[in-house]
Amino acid sequence: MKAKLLIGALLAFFAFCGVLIVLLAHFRGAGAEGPAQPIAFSHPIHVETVGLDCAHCHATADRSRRPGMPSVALCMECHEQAAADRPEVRKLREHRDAGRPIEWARVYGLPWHVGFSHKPHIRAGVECAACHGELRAQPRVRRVSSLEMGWCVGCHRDRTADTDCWACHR
Amino acid sequence: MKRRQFVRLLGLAPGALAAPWDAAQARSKLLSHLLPGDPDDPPDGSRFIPATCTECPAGCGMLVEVREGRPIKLEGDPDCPLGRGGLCVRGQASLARLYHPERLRQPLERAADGELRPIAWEAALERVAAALGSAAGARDPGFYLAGQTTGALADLVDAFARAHGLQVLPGLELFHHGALRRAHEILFGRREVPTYALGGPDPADLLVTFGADLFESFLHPVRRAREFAEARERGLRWFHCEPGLSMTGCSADRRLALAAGGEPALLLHLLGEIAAGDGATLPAEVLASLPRMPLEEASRRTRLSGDALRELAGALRSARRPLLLCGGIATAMPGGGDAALLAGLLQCATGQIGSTVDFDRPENLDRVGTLIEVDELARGAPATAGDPGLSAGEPREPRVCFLAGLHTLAASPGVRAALERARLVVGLTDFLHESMPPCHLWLPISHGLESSGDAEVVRGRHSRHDPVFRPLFDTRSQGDILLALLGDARTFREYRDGWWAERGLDPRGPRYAERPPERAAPAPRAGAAAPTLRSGAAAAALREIAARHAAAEGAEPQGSTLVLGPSVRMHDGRSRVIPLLHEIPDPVSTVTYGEYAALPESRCRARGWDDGLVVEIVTSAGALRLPLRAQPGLPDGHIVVPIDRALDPGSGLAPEMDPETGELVRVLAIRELRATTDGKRLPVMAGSMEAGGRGILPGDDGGHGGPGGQGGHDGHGAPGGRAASLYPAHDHPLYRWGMVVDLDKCTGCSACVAACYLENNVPLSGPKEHLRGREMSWLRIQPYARRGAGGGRDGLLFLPMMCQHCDMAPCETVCPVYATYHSQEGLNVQVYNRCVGTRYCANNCPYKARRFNWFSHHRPEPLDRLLNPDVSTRPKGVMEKCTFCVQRIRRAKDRARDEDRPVADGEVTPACAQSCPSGAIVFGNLLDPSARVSRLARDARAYRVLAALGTEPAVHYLSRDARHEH
Repeated sequence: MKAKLLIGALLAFFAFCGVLIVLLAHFRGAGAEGPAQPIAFSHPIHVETVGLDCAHCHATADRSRRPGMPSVALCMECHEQAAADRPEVRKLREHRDAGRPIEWARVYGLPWHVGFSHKPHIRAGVECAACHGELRAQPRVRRVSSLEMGWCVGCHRDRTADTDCWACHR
Repeated sequence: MKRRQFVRLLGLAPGALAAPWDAAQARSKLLSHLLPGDPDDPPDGSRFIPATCTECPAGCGMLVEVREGRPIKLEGDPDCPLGRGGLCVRGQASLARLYHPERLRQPLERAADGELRPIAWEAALERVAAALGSAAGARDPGFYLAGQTTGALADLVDAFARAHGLQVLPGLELFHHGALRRAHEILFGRREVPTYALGGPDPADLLVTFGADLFESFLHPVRRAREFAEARERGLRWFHCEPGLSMTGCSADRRLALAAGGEPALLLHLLGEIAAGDGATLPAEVLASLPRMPLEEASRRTRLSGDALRELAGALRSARRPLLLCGGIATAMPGGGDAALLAGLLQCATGQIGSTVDFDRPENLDRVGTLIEVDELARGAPATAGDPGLSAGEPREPRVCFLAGLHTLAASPGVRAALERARLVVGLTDFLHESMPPCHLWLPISHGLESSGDAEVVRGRHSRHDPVFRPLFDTRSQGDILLALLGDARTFREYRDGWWAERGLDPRGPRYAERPPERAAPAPRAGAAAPTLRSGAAAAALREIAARHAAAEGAEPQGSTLVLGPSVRMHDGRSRVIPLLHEIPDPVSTVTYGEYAALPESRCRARGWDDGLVVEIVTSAGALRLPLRAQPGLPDGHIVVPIDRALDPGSGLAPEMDPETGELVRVLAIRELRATTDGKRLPVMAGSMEAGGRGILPGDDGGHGGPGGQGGHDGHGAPGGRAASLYPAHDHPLYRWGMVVDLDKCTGCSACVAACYLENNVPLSGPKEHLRGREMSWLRIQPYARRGAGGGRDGLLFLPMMCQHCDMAPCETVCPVYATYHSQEGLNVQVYNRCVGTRYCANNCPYKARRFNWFSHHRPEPLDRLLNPDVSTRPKGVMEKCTFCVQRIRRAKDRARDEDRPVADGEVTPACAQSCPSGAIVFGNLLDPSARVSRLARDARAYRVLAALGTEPAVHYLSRDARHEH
């Protein structure tokens, strides 16, 4: 009787946790689609159709922790003319005219205790796609890797990169 | 179901929950800014922008580490001719002043009901302008009072005052060196404080100091510490004579704790001894009026042994390049004027003028007055030729008064009285200091990092700085406020550039500029312009001193004295608004928060008094009630109270000025000392100052059989030198990071501690937690009592203690979750997110270097902007400790990898080593035998703390040179 009660309680606990996980995933929009963005920017158009290089927009990936998000001014260099009448590009122009930065929803985030830096990864010749997937196939950017420690360490081991805790943890 | 299975299952579900939670926490917005950033300035790159420290008048140059537009750390500027790369504890902490949540953020106006209300800048300036307009032509339009002001700002203040008929009062500084300047005026006709050359290419070989607190607040503490280190490397001997016990005194080879007031007698005796020798260079007229001070009499008046006096006189006689320095407390007591005079004469007699005492480059104290001068001028007492409107003896009724950058008027009753009669008092300040009188208008001034400025701290040596970033709040710089009131459209930056250009200095050139010394005639060779002794005046002064000494013949020296000692943390009290400086212990008493009186430990023990017992100290200038601190190393007959506390309104002490020199009297006779029934818990951070034969100090290994010993070496580095162990040795393929701390150079100044706090986002835990022993400092200055010459304890030895990054670390083996381990680079790693907070490691650490986060620490806005983005902030329940600044190691390795080479020696400098003014901390790769750190670790003086435990620390200490021990 006692054991049954215990298992019952455990099951109820798991069910509760399961519901929470589903709810969380739902509200954070981390489904197969990735989170909604203020402007429906399309990587496939820019990478596949226009043929831009990643570094054209994410210019500091090779010398900084962060890849760098393109400035509104950079976007407008082309979009002053190119596709200027599209609704999404109009949104971009509104940002420029109003002097309002664009607040993109972060897709790849790491917890406080990880000090990831793009620079050494680019220096070691890791392709952008190794972590971010083929962006030419992602109309809306979604997270394609788990970003769990095991996933990081797996690659570090394969490439005989540093696996000391303080290589990443801060 | 078994219990273990149950727990395992129970752990699974919340674990699954926790993972997405973490990611959710990290989820934030990514910004596309409007304009592209500077391509050469990547978003997480640091820029180092030069600036000048404004925390005290020393004006050290510094480099501001700016990250994403905000300053996050200050470092000493290696190019600064004064500090040369070092920065003191106050300078480090001045960044916390910038981000202080209680900074004055907007102009305030005192309404009729006494309430302070915000007022717009324009309205505030209009009100001032209107008051100035109506004051024009009045009998006493008012005055302008500030602290030491130099450079272009000083000129602007004059121009402003001229335009409105205001009187510029001399600068108000507690440490105004009035006695020294008076002495030099009498002796040499120069009312100045010279530059003292302790270091340099030909450093002094003997330093004799009377009272001067070189490393706390006397003139240039950072510069002095650097010079001291240079000179000590070349075999400097140092005698320090002081009443009480100061941090500076602890670094001297011989600390002579004399009875306060005995300084003139001792100096007279030394003069007599030098004059009797052949090397004396004093004119006959002076020698004739020199009163005799035999050894016995000098010994009686100073309560120093005849041997000590003989040793001092002998050292002075035989020194090749001596430097005698009298100041600080020795000149801040009745008879302090005599001490300064006699010291000047002794400098003459031993040929120091023009060599180690340099009047070519005097301190720029021209605009600083003595406390009495300022007070009398504000009171309106003596009418001077320049102020025809004021008649003698009549109290002033100023219309508009300006108080700029002052933190207290406690020692200036005359100024306070004049302000009460003023129509409008305008305070220019960054804080509403409790001890400032009420002003009608408060105008917030910008921090030094937010404004342009320049300084000429030593005459002819200029430095210039420009804003590092925009003001955080609605503040303006003093110069900009004055220009606005003058109706001048220029910014202060433009004004300053013009001022520089007028003086032949290049406002676009290097930020440190030098003008040739001002001399009547160009000197044919160096030293030729050294002032000559005015023998007539000197002889007259000597006769006066002789008369005074004859009158005091046979009088006993004072009994117990209360000494208002220097404070390395608070200077004259101006730095007290910075919480970090309260968190860092005073190096001598190790008290953090709150006020206290230091009593000799022996006396307290004899009476059964413990730390925190409130005692009443009745002195000639009033009574103080303070909790006591039983201070090891403090000689009997002295009580020390830090000067920054002593003048608090309500402290019970009425400030007294020496009428001759205008200095605050800092030595008071104690009439009565009694215990009260009150007690207060005092946050004393040092558990015990007894090294206790445990192997903490060299030659103190408690018979554990380690090689140790004075100047001995513990055998590190030798094959098979390691103690037997159950654990395998560690493999260090490329780097083995290590540190050497030279105790011969460490002055205890705590600059490293402040630097560590700021670099590593170490939280402040506050007074309540300190009382529970829960301080968070990763690096502490641990003082240990030293044996005095007579076998009694005298003075302290400072030992900086941080995580020792042991090879055989006791903390690592007890961690149940492998949150701490030994890395391949020899670092003792702490993985915060893996730590579950058992605190086993801290309990097992023999160095007490680990700190536990009992709480998640909250940083009130805008202090949250002070965080170093390279270092995480640790949440509650997590252990933390010194990392050897792993973020700096990482940065250096990244740079080296870019250039495909190993990290070079000297490329990694942890924050503590960077800030150390005396260069006592050296860091590097112990595997590289030619690295500086390896060479020093092999030095004969090298030892490791608690080496007998077999922990194999990576931190080596260099014991104090045997020559520098009593």
